Order: sequence, then structure tokens, then C-alpha cells
Amino acid sequence: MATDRRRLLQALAAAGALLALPRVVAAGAGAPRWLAARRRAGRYEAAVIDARGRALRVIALPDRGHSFAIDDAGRTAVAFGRQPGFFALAFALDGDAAPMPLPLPPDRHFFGHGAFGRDGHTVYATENDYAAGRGVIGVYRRRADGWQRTGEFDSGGIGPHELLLMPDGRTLCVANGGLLTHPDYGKLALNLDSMQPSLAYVDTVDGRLLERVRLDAALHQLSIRHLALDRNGSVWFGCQHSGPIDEQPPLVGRHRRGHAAELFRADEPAQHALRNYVGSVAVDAGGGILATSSPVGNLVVWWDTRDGRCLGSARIDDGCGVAPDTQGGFLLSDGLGGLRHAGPDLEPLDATLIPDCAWDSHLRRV
Amino acid sequence: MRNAILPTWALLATMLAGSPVHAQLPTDLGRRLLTTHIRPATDTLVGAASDLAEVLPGYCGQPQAEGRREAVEHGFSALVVAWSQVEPMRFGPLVEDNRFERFFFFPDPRGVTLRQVQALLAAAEPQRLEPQNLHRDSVALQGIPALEYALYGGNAATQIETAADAGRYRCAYAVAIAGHLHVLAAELQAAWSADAPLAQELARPAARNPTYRSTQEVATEVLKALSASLQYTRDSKLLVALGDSADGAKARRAPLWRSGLTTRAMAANLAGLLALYEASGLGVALGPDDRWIDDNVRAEALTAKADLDAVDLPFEQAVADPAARSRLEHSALVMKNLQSILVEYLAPALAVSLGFNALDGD
Repeated sequence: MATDRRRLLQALAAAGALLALPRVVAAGAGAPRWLAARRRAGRYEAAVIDARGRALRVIALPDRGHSFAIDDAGRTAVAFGRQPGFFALAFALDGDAAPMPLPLPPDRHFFGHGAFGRDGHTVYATENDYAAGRGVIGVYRRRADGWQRTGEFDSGGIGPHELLLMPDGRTLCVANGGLLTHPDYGKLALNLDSMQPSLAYVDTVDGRLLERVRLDAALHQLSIRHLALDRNGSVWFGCQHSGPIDEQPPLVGRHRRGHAAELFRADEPAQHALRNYVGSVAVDAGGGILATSSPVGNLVVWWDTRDGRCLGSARIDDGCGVAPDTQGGFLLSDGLGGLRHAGPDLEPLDATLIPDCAWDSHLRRV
Repeated sequence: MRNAILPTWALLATMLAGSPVHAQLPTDLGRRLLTTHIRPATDTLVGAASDLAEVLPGYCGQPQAEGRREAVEHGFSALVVAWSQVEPMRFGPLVEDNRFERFFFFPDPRGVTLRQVQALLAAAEPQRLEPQNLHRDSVALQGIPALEYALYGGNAATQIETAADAGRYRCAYAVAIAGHLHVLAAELQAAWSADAPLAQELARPAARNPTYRSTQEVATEVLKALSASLQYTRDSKLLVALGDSADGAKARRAPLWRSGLTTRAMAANLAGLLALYEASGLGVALGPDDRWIDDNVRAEALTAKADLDAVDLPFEQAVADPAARSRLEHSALVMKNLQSILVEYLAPALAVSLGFNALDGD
């Protein structure tokens, strides 16, 4: 029956795994590295990789991963479980020390994103207080004997997804997607009728809500989910529309503290091709170009961060991971195991294909 | 031997095949969907809502008169079955204006429906039952779960039969919901009618359309709807209620346990999604090497439905009864396998991309 098939698939996967064990290579000193979650040979992992996808360090994950918090020094990262996530593992980017778990309370789950504080010992994670239907930011601190959860802040909305630390080193910007979920029902949205997404700025010193930005009421089903900072410290955000497909609202926006949010629409046919979905956003090393990916639409769109002008797009099947490349442009990863360099001035080169590998949503430069 | 397993030869053939030859999508995909399934199923829903809205006032007026309660219960179950066949088509007008949630606010892990319905009944304000007011009120107050509570919750029948103020208000609330569901169903019908813009696009996808620009986009919509619907029925309705064991079962987390329609509604979901699949003609479009996919999709849908049809105990007893429970568990297993066949085999055979990241968006 179905279990027979599962066994067969597992056997095939295991046979494949024997043929292609992850080869861990030594990093050249100072060589650029990235970090991504993936499924490889049926197993979930976090991998530190070089530009050609060669693994420098592989961390086994208990379930499907999502994104990472990375400290400023580039020494430690925390891998978060995909929503509804029940694990977060802190590990050294170099060396082979065993990863350390962040202790999640029983009545919370992770949404898959987090950020380090400037001190390199504090991690903020987006979490769901699902009994109360409330978004929170869990605060974790590294102690001599492991990680401890020292408190939590209100996230200023429901369904917080990505969060980032602002250039002041003190304020968190949180994308409250607005979608109410409960782990018994996976990612199913329970409040499509009443959702109210927002961008919230939260003070890490006392958890105070400093500013909350909402979009026009007509866009209340436009879930704000992913964030990146440009060279001026403006927050760029990528959205996913939960309303009907014949509504095609803009999916990309910019916000500066104290101003209203601005929204930008891609040129046709790219706007349509995004299929109301942006899965990841990143700004290039120079801070002037934004990349937004849509695995649903198999498309990555480039934007000028000065004025929100759409600079074109590249077709990447199931492409979601986007991270700045060292030489300008971006490194892109996809669910088919592909990894490639691309940008508005660089047609996607042939992908480096990692066999039996699906790169998960986010790729981070470390 | 049930067809719950993919034939090994087919699996290996798929793995060993070189560059895959994709099936040609039927060019009249959207037109077939509309004429063979979407419109007939929507018409049935309009009819069922209208019938119930018609018999309810008679029941409220004389709840003890012979046959009145039976007519209402018959009408309610017909509405549930008609809705459950429409439920898998969660795209287009069913998503607009939150129609899906207005019809069927579920899952509801925090018990919003029960809390709000009880508060509404306790307050007994007639103006809240006015159609425009009900439409503006919480979606949890407008749908089939709320209607079920009004007609079956607690001592509903007794309360209505005593014809005191509380019973009269409760029955008037049921009338208001049924009337509103009839309006919503008629909106859905209009939105899929031949001259409605989205229906025209679905029937004739073209590059200049705002929404559906190619047959492939229409096929993607159908496959995503089928996959999401299976997951909804299996994970949200069935598995949460089944729990890990008979002892850990939480039957009241399933929808429609008060009216005893839980398994019938899930069986109608499967009938609805099979009808949607068959209307699409996607299976017929497969080449000879891929025909096993079509055979398996049909067989699995029928098997999962047959398991549910075979359970005739009230759902609260079924989850704890060894024979019935094993049928329910088997149905869930087959639904999982059916979803895998759709995503891992049918979609690639049709060159429709439902990727690792795309399918499980985040």
C-alpha cells in the first residue's frame, strides 16, 4: 500500500545517498560563503556553501528548515524550522562543534526567521502564541552552558514572519503577515476575512512598539512577509496576496521611518507572472539593487532601490533563494537544486546543479 | 488489492525515462471545466440553498407539524453535500469577497463560531438578522457551521419546538443564514456564467487577459485546487479529529458532527474533486506511458470515498470504533497517496510546475 511505496522511495533515496554523500570541501581563506536550508537525498539540512554549491559545513536538521539568524561577526548562525517550526539550532559557521538548540516554550512555534542583536549573543525570533492568536518575538541569550529564552515582546500583529535589526542596532523591523494560523492546521490561514498585515518597529530594549505601518484598507489581504535593507537604511518588503487571483496588487514596497509605505508594481508581463507571490527579497552588495523571487511564478524581478523602478526579470524555475553576490549581482537558488549568478546586467548563467537537492526558500551571504 | 500503491514498474519507468515527453493540454480545458462541472455543481448549490430557505419558514411557524423537521434536516444535508462538492474549487469567485469563509468558516480551533453564535442567540436582536447586517457581521455567523448550530446545537430542536421567544429567534436566525447562503450561491453562479469576465478568461485563456493567460495557467489552477482540497479534507477535517489513537481522538474538532454529516461531507469533497479532475480532461490528455497516472487518480479518489461511505456510525463513535476507525485511517492514507500522485507524477507529466518552494509557500 502507500507504506510500501514510501519504503521503496526511501530505499531508492538511500541508494542514491550512498552514491553521492555530501562532499565537504575546505574553504579557501576569505572565500565567499552562503548559507541555505535544503532537502538532500531525503534529508533536511542547513549547508554552508561556496559559490559553486560545494558544502563547507552541513548541519542535519530534524525537519524542514527555512531561514537563519547570522551574527555580525559571521561566526554563529541559527537555523529555524519552517513554519510551524519547532526547532532552532545555533551552530558555528566554521569548525564542527555540535549545534545547540534554542529552547522553545511548549505553547509557541517558530515562523522560520530570526535576527541577532549587535552583541552577538542575543537572538530575536518570530513566534506564534497560537492559543492566544498573537504574534511574539522570542528573545534568546547565549550563556556559558547553552541558550536560554529570557523573554518575549509583542510583535505588534498576527503572524510575524521575517524580522531584521535596523542600522541603529536597537530597533527591530517586523513583517507581521497578518495571517492567523494554528499548528494543528499547518499553514492554513484562519482569518482571511479579517487579516491586517503590518510593518512594526519594536524597541529591543523594552519591547515597546515604536511605529506600526499599515497598507491601504483595500490591501488588507496583502501579507507583508520578507524584508531587506538598502544602502540608505530604507526597509524593502515583499508581499504575498491572499485574495483572489484576478486582483493583482503591487507586491513590493519600501518604508522609511515616519513616512507612509510606498508600493511598486513590476512592468507587465512580470507583474502578472509573479502570481501574487514574493518568496524572498535581498539587496545587492552595493545596496542599490533589490531582487524579489517568486517560486510560484518561476521569476526573479530586479528593482532600483532609488526609485522603485523595475529593472527587468529572469526566469528561474521554482527559484526562491536570493542573496548578494560578492562581485555585484546575486546568487540564486531553486527547488530543483540549481544555483546560479544573475542580476539586472547579467543574464542567468548556467546553473550549478546539486544532484537530489532542493534548495529551500532563503539563501544568506555569510 | 486496492490501488493505493503505485505500480513499481511505472515508478521505475518514470525514473529511468530520459527527457520526458509532456502531454498536450486540452485546449478547451477551461470551457470543459465550466460546462461539465463548475456550472452544474454551482447550480446544484443554488438549488439546495433555495430549497432549504423555502422549507425553513414553514418549520419555524409550526415546528411540530408532521414532516416539517424532517424536511429541514433533509434540506440541510442536501445543502451540505452540494457545498462539499463546490468546496474543492477554491479559486476565482469562491475566494472573492471571502465567500469561502462566509460559506464555511473552518477550521476554527479557537471556537469563534460557537462563541459568536451563542452570543448572537443570547442577545436576540432582530435587526442583526437583516440580510445586509448579517453580511456585514462576522463571517463565522454566516455559514453552514453556524446554521448547523442553530438547527442541531445543544437542545436546538426542543427549543425551537417550544416556540418561546428564544426558539423563535433561533429559527429566524436559521432562516436568515439560509437566505444569505442562497444569495452567496447565486453570486457564485453569476460569476461563473457565460458573460462573466473571469469565466470568459477561463474558457479562452489568452496573452492579453488580465488573469488567465494560457491553458497551462488554467491547468495549474486546477492542480493546485485539487492538491489543496485533498490536504484540507485530510489534514484539517479528518486527521485532527482522528488524533494519534482512539483514546486521543477529538471528534468534535471535525466539522458537522452535530448533524452527523461529517463523513458524508468529506465523501462529497472527494466526489467533487474527482468530478473537477474528470471535467478538466487532464487525465485523458496523458500519453500512453502516463495513462497509469490517470487510472490511479480515479481509483484512489474512489477508494478514499468508499472508505468514508462505509462508515455509518456517528462520527464521535466512529473515531473510537476499531473497524470504523481503520476505514477512516485508510481513507486518510489513500488521500495522501492521491495528493502525491497529483503533485509528483501528474503535474510533471503535464509540464505544470508545482515546485518544492512553490507548492509549500512561506
